[in-house]
Amino acid sequence: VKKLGHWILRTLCRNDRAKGHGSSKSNDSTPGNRKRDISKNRIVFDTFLDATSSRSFILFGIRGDSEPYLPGCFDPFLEVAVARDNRLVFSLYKKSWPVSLTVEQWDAIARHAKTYHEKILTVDVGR
Amino acid sequence: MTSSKDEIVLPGAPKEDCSIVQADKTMLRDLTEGEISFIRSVANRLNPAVRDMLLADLSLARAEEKLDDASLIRFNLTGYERGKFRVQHTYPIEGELNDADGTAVHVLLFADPSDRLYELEFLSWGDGPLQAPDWTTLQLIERPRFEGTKRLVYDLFSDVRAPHPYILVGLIGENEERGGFDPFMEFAVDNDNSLALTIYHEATMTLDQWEEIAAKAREHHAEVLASGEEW
Repeated sequence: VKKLGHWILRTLCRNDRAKGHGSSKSNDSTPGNRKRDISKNRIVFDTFLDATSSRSFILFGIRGDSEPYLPGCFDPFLEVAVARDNRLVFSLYKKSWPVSLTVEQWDAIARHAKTYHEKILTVDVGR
Repeated sequence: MTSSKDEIVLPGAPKEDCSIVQADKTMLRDLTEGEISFIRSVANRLNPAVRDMLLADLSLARAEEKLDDASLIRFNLTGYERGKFRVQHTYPIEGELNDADGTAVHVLLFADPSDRLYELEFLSWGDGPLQAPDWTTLQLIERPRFEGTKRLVYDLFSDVRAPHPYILVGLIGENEERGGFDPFMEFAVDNDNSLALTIYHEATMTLDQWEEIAAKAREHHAEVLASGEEW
């Protein structure tokens, strides 16, 4: 699923670019750079539902203070999915740029993941 | 032919069954040598029962290309009717190879819920459609499996170049020794007394572990601030 996530992101980005919504090149910037004030970075996320599996997952990325956010157009560093046993699984990705977060951002991710978890479990009842 | 829009459903769109439409027999082709050899190599790294099943499926398989650039191949197994299902899963071994222009491409192999061979998918990291994957560059990768039984370990680390001692975080198995663990992240207090959690590489954890890291990081932050020491 991890790579599938990337793949869907790429597809979405390509579509956006085709429509002239700007570049999605993830190396335009190096988000999360330690030298900068990381508290100004924004955590962005997108939820994906893969038609070939019954589960969806969320991908999290970082945008700098002034970088525009286009849905699906970020280089994710984290995937959160619900495992078969219904537990939440957090999978960090290896990135070529340093990913630095504040503890508040870390908490915000957990909160978002919990909300998502509750939603998924409700939807899945009776499956 | 299926178009790629069938493969991606965005949030809010209704969930669809991944039910198998009877394959159009005229679209089926034999597997290429590259595909056969990849599936064999995957099989040979699996436990004997799964290996035998995969090899048996391989001998029954014919391929149907599902996307325009043939980056998704669905297998039709002679004499096997797939029921309706929604969850497919990958085999724990995947491949990495180069596309014609050198772009890295991952190759994933999927089974259906009855563990029968289902799909092969190329995931290109480059822009544009898949060109011609070069099977001679194939390398197999064993995917780390999430077992959920690993525990977090922490090490305080002092480095003269760092403003304060920082903490390395690793995950180790139940019976593993903690000595010299491979850290996947650190948390550190900077010159301006701000706390940063920095990720080095892949790791998989539960929500409890995610929250445990936040708690430990806060604890460390408080300790450093209380010590008032300049390093």
